[in-house]
Amino acid sequence: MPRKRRSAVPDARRAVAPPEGFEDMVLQEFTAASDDCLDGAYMLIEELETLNPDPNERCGLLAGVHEVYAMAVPGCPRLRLLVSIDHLTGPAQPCFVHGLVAKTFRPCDTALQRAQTQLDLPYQSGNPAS
Amino acid sequence: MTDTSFRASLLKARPDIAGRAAANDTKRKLALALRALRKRQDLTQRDIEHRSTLSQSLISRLESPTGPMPNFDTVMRYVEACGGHLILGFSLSKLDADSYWQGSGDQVVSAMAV
Repeated sequence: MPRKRRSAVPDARRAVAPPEGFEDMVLQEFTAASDDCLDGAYMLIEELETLNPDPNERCGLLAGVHEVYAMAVPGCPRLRLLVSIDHLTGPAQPCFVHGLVAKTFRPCDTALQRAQTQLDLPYQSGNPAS
Repeated sequence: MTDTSFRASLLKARPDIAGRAAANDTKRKLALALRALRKRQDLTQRDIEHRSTLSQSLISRLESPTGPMPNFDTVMRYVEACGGHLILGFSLSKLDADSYWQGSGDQVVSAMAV
């Protein structure tokens, strides 16, 4: 039996993009980033098409569906990439990009707040990362 | 989600990304391949640090898309910390890394071709 790959997207590349209506806002945060940060974030976007974030980057679960993450950006220690993954829509679970924020700006709180607002989810505090 | 080509939008807004990606092509591919190996094993950077003599800053540099290429010994230490193995091959034909590892069943979990 093949080894279970929890970190991989099963069988297909998934869409990685901002939620509808927030493309310009998210794009603006990316384009304002330094070259190093932009290159690292761009690589993460490509990686997210086939792989999940690290488990220690998890911020919580919203609406029982959206796993929210604040990801370290390779080559850019000062920023975090905020994403959420709809883990119920299979097999290629969509990944929403919520923006780039400073590491010092409470990235997990910001990620949960943005995911809730941008995906129009009912208010809840989210389950803290285990 | 309407835009499934956010990467294309990024490249259009900041075309300089493509130039740097091309200039750092080998380093970028190596970083993606190493990260893929680590993630397939469900390991974090901290796990690699604990399982090897590699420092956190060195691991971060290994996984960065830009910067100098690491030496072979450093790459091997990272791979061993992942519980992985490495095969190094050479070809006179252009190779596609995705086809290579996808066609290998579960034997190869990541690959880079230059």
